[in-house]
Amino acid sequence: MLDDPVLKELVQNALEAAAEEGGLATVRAAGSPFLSSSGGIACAIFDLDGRQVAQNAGGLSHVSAVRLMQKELLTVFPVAEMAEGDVFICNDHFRGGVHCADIAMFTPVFFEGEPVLLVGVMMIVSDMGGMSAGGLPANATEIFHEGLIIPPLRYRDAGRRRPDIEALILANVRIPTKVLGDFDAILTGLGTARMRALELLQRYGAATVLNVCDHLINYAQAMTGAGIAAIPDGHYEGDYLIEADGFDERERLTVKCRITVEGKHCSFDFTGTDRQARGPINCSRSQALTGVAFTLRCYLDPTIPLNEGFYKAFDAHFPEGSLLNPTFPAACNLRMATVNGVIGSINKAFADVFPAKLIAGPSAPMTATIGNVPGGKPWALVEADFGTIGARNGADGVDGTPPQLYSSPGWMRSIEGYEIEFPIEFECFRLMPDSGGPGEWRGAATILKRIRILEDGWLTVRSSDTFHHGAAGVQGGKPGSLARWVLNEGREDEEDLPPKKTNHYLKAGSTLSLVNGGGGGFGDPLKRNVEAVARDVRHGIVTREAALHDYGVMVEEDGMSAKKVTA
Amino acid sequence: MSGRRLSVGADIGGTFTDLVVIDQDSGEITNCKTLTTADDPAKGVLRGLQEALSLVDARPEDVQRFVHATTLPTNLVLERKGARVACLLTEGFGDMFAISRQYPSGADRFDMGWQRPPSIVDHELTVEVRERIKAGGKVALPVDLADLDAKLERLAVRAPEAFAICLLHAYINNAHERLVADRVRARFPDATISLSSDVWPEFREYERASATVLSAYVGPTFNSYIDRLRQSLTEIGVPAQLKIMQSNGAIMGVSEAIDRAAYTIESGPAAGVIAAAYSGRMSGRQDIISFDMGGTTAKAGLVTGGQPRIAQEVRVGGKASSSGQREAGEPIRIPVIDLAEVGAGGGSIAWVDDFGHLRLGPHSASSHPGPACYAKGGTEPTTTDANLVLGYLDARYFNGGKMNIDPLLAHKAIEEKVARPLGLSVVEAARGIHSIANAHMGAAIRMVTLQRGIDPRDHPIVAFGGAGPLHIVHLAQMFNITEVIVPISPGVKSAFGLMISDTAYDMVRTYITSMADADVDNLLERFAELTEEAEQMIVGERNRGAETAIMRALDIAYAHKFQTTTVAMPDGPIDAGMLKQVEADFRAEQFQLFGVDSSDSCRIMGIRVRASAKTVPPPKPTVDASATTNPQAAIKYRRSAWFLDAGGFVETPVYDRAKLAPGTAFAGPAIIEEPDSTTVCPPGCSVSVDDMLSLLIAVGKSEDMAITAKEQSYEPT
Repeated sequence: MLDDPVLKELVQNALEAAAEEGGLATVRAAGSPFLSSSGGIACAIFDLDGRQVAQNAGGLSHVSAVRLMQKELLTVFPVAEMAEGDVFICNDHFRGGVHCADIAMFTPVFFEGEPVLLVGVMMIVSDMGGMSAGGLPANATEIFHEGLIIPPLRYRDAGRRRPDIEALILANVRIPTKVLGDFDAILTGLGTARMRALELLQRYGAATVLNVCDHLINYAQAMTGAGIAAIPDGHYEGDYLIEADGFDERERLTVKCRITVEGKHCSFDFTGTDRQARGPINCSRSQALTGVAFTLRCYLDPTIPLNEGFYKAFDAHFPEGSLLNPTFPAACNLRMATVNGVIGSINKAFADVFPAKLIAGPSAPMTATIGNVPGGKPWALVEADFGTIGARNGADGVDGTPPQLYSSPGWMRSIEGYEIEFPIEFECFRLMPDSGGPGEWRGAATILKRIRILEDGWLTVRSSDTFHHGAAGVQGGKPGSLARWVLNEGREDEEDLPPKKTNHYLKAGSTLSLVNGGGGGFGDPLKRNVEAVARDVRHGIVTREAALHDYGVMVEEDGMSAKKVTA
Repeated sequence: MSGRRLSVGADIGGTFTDLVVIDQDSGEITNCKTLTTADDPAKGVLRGLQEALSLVDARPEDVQRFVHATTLPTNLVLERKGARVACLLTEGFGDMFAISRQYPSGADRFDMGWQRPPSIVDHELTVEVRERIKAGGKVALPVDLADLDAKLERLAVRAPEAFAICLLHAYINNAHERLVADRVRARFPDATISLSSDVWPEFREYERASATVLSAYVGPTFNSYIDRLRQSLTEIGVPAQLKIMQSNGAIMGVSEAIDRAAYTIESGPAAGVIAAAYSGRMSGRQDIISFDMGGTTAKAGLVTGGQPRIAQEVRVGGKASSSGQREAGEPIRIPVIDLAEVGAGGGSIAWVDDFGHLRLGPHSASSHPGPACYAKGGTEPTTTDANLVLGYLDARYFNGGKMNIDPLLAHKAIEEKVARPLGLSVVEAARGIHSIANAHMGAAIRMVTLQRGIDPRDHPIVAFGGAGPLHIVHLAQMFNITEVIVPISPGVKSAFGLMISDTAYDMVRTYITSMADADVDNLLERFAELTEEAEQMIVGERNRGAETAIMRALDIAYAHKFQTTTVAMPDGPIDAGMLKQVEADFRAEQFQLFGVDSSDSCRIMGIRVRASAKTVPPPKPTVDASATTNPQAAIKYRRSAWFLDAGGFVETPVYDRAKLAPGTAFAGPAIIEEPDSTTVCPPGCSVSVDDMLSLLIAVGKSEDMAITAKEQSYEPT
């Protein structure tokens, strides 16, 4: 037998590889460019006490959901009732889920006739019914509007299909074959992770693996604790303003966080956060926890194993009935700005102790769906923008790039592919001048996408933030530009759409401009390096007018020379 | 001495330039390693050639074939030393590389200060061309030439050295790109010009443009280097035409290489897989895993039916991740031999974290200062140091005895940095480092097999690279792989691969239609056009007597999915029946790869033609005069080496590989040494030598690695 430290490293590697591979197998089988780039597929492994022992790195935006759903699952189906080949399904956001279209499945790993571990995979599927196709109805006020609710159910019985359950689910979705294909992808990932976990058990035996899991959990807790201990003890407070509640554009809601650091432990208390919203911007408890877990990791060693030990080192309180832990039947699909609120309020709280890590506000994800009118050849195009990152202390925001929780590329799609696939043409896909919040460090410029549709169609738009207030600047930095949906930009019939609109009719030849908010700026713009301003002008990211107005820098027409102008 | 026929393969790597010379008549193979001359790599190649020729007592006139692979293009990108490239993009889309497809992954996602690696495109040298072609190829807006000329004029002050012209939908209608190129040529007659419709005429603007920009970026330096090399070879009297290796494992002529510099990215590692495939084939194995381990990375590839697996995209300038994926770098769309790479090699540094965990990498001691035992100032323990402590390497015979290494330094580094902090003995610590290195490298093998639904147990591993043969049997045991093949001279296998690669050119066109209503006549016509172009590329080879072939393939995707797969078409006339067969092949492969049996309909996404000309393989290698089939005669001495299944250190015979004749067989534990590599065969395994002088190792099970065979099959739940 190998010596302990080596064994621990080997088992940890193997567990993480199993989760990673499960996630990759799901992405591949799903075959959607949207999924593979947005990192929304989570795969995790648990012991029978429901403790997480490993998770893939890719599924960060669902980092805590699989774990909480698994805990809920065990309350309904105790391990003793599980058979080899069972698969369980769930999507309920009051039981650890995120929103109806995010489906999680779990399966036990049997070894020598006994269950030893559980594996779980979570992925967004094409549709789960509800008010609008694709499962993100911007006008939902109840979970019932968002789609079919699936409590923990047995989806496969000892490896056998359950036609009754399958039929019930498929009867409630718009494109059953596509949804079934998505379910297959989840099963593929689940099967892969299960096989890898099984190999590990076969190699080392269940007792050894579980012993090592214990150790790994303690190890992660110790690493996390050591990182927290490096933060001075004390109370830290931060808040984050969210515009609109998803129902009334005039509402303003606040996320509040009070962090208490005491030695190796810290707690995040969100008491004081506003009550749950009428609209769908509520954030289920697991999404709120994801926001906390993601942000805390940004202040610690990023190689801490993502297991139960990490979670043991802190606790988080989300008041019941608030935006971050809404009660039944609140709608939750448009939660992204609220998750930004969790992240932003923590960052603000830590601003004084970690000035180097302070980051200005981002904009939030927004999506548009354009589909055909009934009768023609069916098509439905989803265009998403995951938001724009704010400026950091010492660095501009990365232009055209979303905040890191979503981690997806700016040039995400193939424009040519979209034009081949759909009756649309892109007029432009470019960085929007003057969109990044001015600052000594400039917020990231957002992307202006203008799409012309060549056939009549229905448009549904959803966004949740930065339509009324730009992404916040910090330390004297200015806010980023506002997000907009504009129809027929630059024409006589130009028209701004509200942030959320379901089923707006578009005539062939109309254009939709999709512009997210720019990232917030960091520090006094008048302190910005003059050459940096001139370079931004040369790159078309800042206009000469804004250079003068926001930065007090006069840039010559050719952009080659610039000088400071004192007011 | 006149009238000899020599083939030469020259592979420039980061540290060494490897040359292999084969006498096509006698089969004699001679290897030569010289230091790479970074300032002018051609110098190192020539010096190596002259050294190699003197070794075999031949003249430059005897060199009938000269094939070359170089890391030059990769290094130009990594060191950002390429040409000043002006990038011409369709108006409205000029920010393509400022928006970029790069984003933070892995630990970078938690780094709030993350910065995107700078693009090789300077935003200030980007020009938007007022023009537009629609998806079907129709012109929506003709090129505004006056506007273009004015913009080119303004560009002149920035003295661009190369141009990349990448216009939307140019893969289907290249008229605008050609027109723009004419105007550029008129204004900048000396600049290198790359057109996306030439470099890779397939839809997906970002990947096509990246490949085009890359060609423009490395083109001028690469072209002048190739020109210099060609001239120098001619000057010393080499009659052979220079051939250049491509990333897809085939070779091309110099004039084609000059238009397609991007196609040479990662060509050295590709040649290694070709060599591994050849070794497998010659030993009667069609389906193998290739495993190449050097100082900083380990790479695994898959060969099925004797052919390496080809991928259609590669990321350039990225780092290798622990899961075997390229995570960063610009994606470019060209055919490449599919390799999984992990950042683990002989130089990976072992360390103990604050919580008592033994970890390996990601830092590497690389060649400077190198492992502690190199005595060049390195104090961190590495995989190589661990291997030395375990007795797998010989301090006196390192790199064929040309390099002195100090086992005491290895011992000291492991003791101080790993053993003492963990409360282990030095040997236990070394064993741990060796095992963790194997676990890391296993990820690369896993990636090309299990992750694709392929059972590794059906695939012998062909191991090469300086360090591959040392680790390979333990790795095979991890996967229950029962056979390992170590070809002769594993340390210079990439250079050898150059000489056995066929000449081939890949042509592609985007062609999108649903499989069910494909217009067969139209498809035939498009294939005929592409085939004619492809024929032109190999007509010269055919006239010289080479056996040539044309192969056709379709890119297919499920209608609701974007992932395309290339499926070979049988020979013969294309008809509805053949399309049905191709569709069935596609569905079967999807099921095997992803475990998904879809009822979705299929679409053709593109058509491909490959024109190839066969290379005459070298005769079987010659056997050293001193070789016999008596293994005892090949034992140099015995040394103590550590094996788990032997319960610790055992006296292990060390064999001189040159003295092993075909037919020799012996059992482990054994260590087999040759100048460029060391093979370790644990107890319970046995070695036999075949006609190719390859070591065939029958791998026995090991206690700590065994996986119950019946449970390992791959199936979705």
